[in-house]
Amino acid sequence: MVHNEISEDSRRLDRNNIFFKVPLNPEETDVHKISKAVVRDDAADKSSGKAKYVSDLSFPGMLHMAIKPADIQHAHILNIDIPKLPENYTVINGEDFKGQNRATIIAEDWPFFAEDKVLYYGQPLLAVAGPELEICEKLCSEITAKYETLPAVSVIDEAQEFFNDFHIVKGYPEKAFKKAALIFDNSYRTGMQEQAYMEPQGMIADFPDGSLMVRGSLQCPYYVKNSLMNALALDADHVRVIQTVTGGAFGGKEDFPSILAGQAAAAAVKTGHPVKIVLDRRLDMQLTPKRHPSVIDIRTAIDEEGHIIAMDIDCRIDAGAYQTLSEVVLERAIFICTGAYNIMNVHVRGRTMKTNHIPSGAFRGFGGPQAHFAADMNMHFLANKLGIPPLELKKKYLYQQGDHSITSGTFRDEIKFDEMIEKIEEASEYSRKWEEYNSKAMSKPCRGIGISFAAHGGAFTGSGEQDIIKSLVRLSAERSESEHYIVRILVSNVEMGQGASTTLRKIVAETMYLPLGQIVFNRSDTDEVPDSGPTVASRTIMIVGKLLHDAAKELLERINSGHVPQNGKPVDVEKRYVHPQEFEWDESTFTGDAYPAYSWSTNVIEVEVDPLTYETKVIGSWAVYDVGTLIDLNIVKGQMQGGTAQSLGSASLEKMEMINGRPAQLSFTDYTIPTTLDFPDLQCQFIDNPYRYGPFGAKSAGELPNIGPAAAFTAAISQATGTIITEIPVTPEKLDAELR
Amino acid sequence: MNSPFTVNFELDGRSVSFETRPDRRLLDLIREDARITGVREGRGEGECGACCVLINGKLINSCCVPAVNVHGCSVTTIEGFAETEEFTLISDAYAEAGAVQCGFCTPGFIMATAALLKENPTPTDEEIRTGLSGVLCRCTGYTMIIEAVMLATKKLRFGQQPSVGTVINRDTLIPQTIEGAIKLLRDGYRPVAGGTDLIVRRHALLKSNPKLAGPDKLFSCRQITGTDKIYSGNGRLIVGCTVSLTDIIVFPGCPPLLREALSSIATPGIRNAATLAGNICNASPAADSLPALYLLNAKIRTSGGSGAREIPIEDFITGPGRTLLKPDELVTSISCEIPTGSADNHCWIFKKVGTRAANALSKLNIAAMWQNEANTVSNFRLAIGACAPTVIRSIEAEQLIIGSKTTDIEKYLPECLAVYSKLIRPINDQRSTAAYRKNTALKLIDYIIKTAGNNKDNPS
Repeated sequence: MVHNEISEDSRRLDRNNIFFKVPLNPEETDVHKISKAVVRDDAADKSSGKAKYVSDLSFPGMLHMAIKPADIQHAHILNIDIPKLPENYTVINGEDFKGQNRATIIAEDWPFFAEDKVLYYGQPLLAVAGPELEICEKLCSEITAKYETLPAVSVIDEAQEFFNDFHIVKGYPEKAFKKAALIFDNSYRTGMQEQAYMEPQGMIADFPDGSLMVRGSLQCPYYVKNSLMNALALDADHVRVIQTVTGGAFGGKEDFPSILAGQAAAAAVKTGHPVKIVLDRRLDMQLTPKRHPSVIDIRTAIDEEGHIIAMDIDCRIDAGAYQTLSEVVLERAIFICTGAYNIMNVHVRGRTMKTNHIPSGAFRGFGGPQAHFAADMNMHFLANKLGIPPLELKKKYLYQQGDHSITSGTFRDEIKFDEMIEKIEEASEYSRKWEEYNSKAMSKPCRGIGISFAAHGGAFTGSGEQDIIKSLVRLSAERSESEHYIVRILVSNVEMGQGASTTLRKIVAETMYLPLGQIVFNRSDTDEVPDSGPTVASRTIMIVGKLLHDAAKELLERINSGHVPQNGKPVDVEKRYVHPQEFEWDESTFTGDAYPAYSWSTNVIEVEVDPLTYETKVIGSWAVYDVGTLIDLNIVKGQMQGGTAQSLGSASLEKMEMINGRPAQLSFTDYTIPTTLDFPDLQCQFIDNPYRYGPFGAKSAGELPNIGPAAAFTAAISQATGTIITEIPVTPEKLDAELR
Repeated sequence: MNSPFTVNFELDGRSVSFETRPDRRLLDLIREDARITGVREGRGEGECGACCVLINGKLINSCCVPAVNVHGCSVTTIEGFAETEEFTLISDAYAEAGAVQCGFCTPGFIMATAALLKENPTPTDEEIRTGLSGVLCRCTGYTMIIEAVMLATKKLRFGQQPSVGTVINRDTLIPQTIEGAIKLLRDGYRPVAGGTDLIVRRHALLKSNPKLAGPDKLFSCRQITGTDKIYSGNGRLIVGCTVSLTDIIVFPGCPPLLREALSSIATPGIRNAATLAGNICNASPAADSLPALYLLNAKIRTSGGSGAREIPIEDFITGPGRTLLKPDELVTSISCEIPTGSADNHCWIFKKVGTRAANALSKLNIAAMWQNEANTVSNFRLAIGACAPTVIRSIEAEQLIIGSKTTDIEKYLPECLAVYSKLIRPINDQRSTAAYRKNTALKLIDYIIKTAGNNKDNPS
């Protein structure tokens, strides 16, 4: 169906020939031609080092800023002792926000700087801005605070308070539990995970002539803009946010940039100078939100014939000290709390527990990885209890078209698990290996293999796209001097490494029969682009790409019907999101279609465990994905493989411990993300299943690979060691304690 | 504080001169003074590799190199390399294979690829993975990066090596003689050889707690005559204090046990700068070179105000971060035994239990060697790192094994393990637990002794 090679033509077009006549021959296009890989438009500048990230920028008169983090977990602040500052050095604190000392990150509770209390270790107390960064840092180290220590909540199990408490019932779980012949209880845990984008967080704020301009590494320009307007009491016309080249984000630059931008902006307003802050890695790891740790208890009812008839699920996630966006993460987790499996009767309770930790935040998958780990490992546990091979049990319950979700929505589109299982069996030889390794636990070579299934709903939860985001996109066709057209894509969704500038351009180019070189993707600047929503939730292609597809069709029609752009007079088309009528959602009861479409995956992981040291090694990784039509094979493959490595990292290497609220692993030396030598080739395949409301049939893709691999890995370790493992990361230390 | 220090070197083919501090990182010189921003800082601990440059043709993490060490060198950054045809071929391969995503690490990968392909134009998958193991990418999962390098090998043939800088510009902070170095030591200056520990730690302290970082009085050992020599004689290997780990690894006379241990340290870009003397003087209980050096009866040669000394390594290292080195002394070389005996009966094992497959610090490490003649185990030696304040070696336990028949060696196991069990006193830290370290060390000792009894060839 698709091919991996790049034609000389597309490279030539992309690199050199910017202008072509419109339109080319329409017959050249078919629905999947778009999947063919092209060379990304940003590859050359990134390779040569010419691309400018925020740390590479500087402006005349620019000041630097250093943050003073609290060195206590939970306390009243009695006083902060600030030595006399040298000339041109300024302290910035919570009083410097004319609007509110609170960032807007869905909830408005996280202060930029602590006020009377410190709620988590590392919470910023204040910042020092001045001409020399080293002096700012030195001054920060000389500032001392006096505290009255308060008792801290460091463990999710000890947390009593929560921000949210939700219940959802599907079917009749209470009745089903009464009929149960067997009931099994088990508890699953996932750890804190650091996004570990390679480019640390950074911002530069400037406040010339009463207007604020902020540049930085970020995913959601309008989130930052809205937060700044609220914090500094500025109106929309006086706040401008420009995204700089962004060196990875993975959710980590969805929430925190609103904090960092606020801090830098307050400093710029106060000093009248541009102010730059780029966090060094230790501070970045200390100050920024990470993936919510979870504890998920599952009680399962089995009837006399051995069928799973009901589940009662209690899902707690560690929200940390402030609520921020945890509610939405929890929703994603509980809406998919049985994973890719159709359980007829379910009660789920979900809570965002309040602890004295860094606020947890967005990380690719956003609740999905935690829920799926528990759900998939629970199936593994049940298969073991019932004496059935895991795949046999899992297959019986996989969602099918027409089934109902936890929120009683309907899976309307075809779900092709049969084809996906056939493909992954062929590639991985899962069943043969499973037989071979079974009942040979801990004998050399100590191997195991695991399979998992996952679902991910694309776009914002529930009616969010319709009621909250109301995405607006614009295309602007201009006429160049050489009598050709160029078409500008104006959206607030950013290129952050995931390839949006290439894939969105391909959608427009393909729709308008234009060569890729004639489509321009502007880096996001809120003075130029409309609010098409944040770059999150795997929505960029599925929602924004579809709007651009529709806009491109209309633009083409208008041009063909004589509305030709003239010099200095572009032809613009705007499109606003309209929710397809067939989907219904009641936010007050969590009932209906939580997502318009789901993407699906299956992962197989094969491992070897060292029987002496319990070191684990992934020796095979296979996956089959249904993400609808691929908008560029290379880009989608890159997403799938990168996500798989992140998920495998979360399951094995990536340990972030909080010791009395203090992160113990604050560097890449101690927080070990995968290197080239940790995992083998991460193989992936795709099935063809175009989505009717997606651009060229594409649906969500980016988060899906972060969801399934962790459970497949853990199932494989469970087989190799003969013990059902219920907690990730699976460290040699834990195996040693478990297997002794 | 020092009077300003002037560093002269060749940067991307141009002669440059910066007035700076001797401890200033090359990365900062490149980014801030030379305004070459394509060299990126992702971590500043020699961990992410985004700052890799070529120094005299060798891949090195510029965040670990102090200014005083680049005096007279030739440095190639990504922006200089980007002017070459080799760059175009490599970067085209990256683009074509889809290996570029966020791009922050890409210059580091391109430099590592260039360094790898210069040395080895037709690497295997495993060699590519090892060659690039010092650069972290969070976007791709590496599969397409490996494909890109494979693609590049099909097209790329490197021409001449770039010229090596020959700027001779004497500076008191770069002494040419031991005497010059000793004078600086007496004036309160500290020596730096590779810088991969010292500069990283210093930079972290400057960021978080400048008071603890101390003064910036630093001098480079790198040009002291004779310290860059490695040779063997009288059954011993002698390694000068500025010889890089890479140069020890490739030296034909290097004992295989030591080679294996050194190859497990960090990444190619760090091993090209780091030195054995630095690893020893850093005196980390988890240092990966130490168990092998303890077994090979290494001796540390020092020079100082009161003359030269030669100190056995087990005496030289007195605790975590502590050695017998006096403030006016410098380690000039390290010597160790080159085990004799035919390959048939000389057996050894080195096992590092690290935090991941590459660029890992050790949770524990263990080295052992013995000879097996006529089914009798002789010359059995064993050392364990990261399980006590200093490396553990027990002559008492070794004597239990030495002289035993391979068939009844297991008789002595319980007694032997009991000796080690008393000596193994690990800690809990951010990398592992005391319980795991102890259990695993004892299991590995048990395995090693059983292996010695199995009468096999080298089990490694």
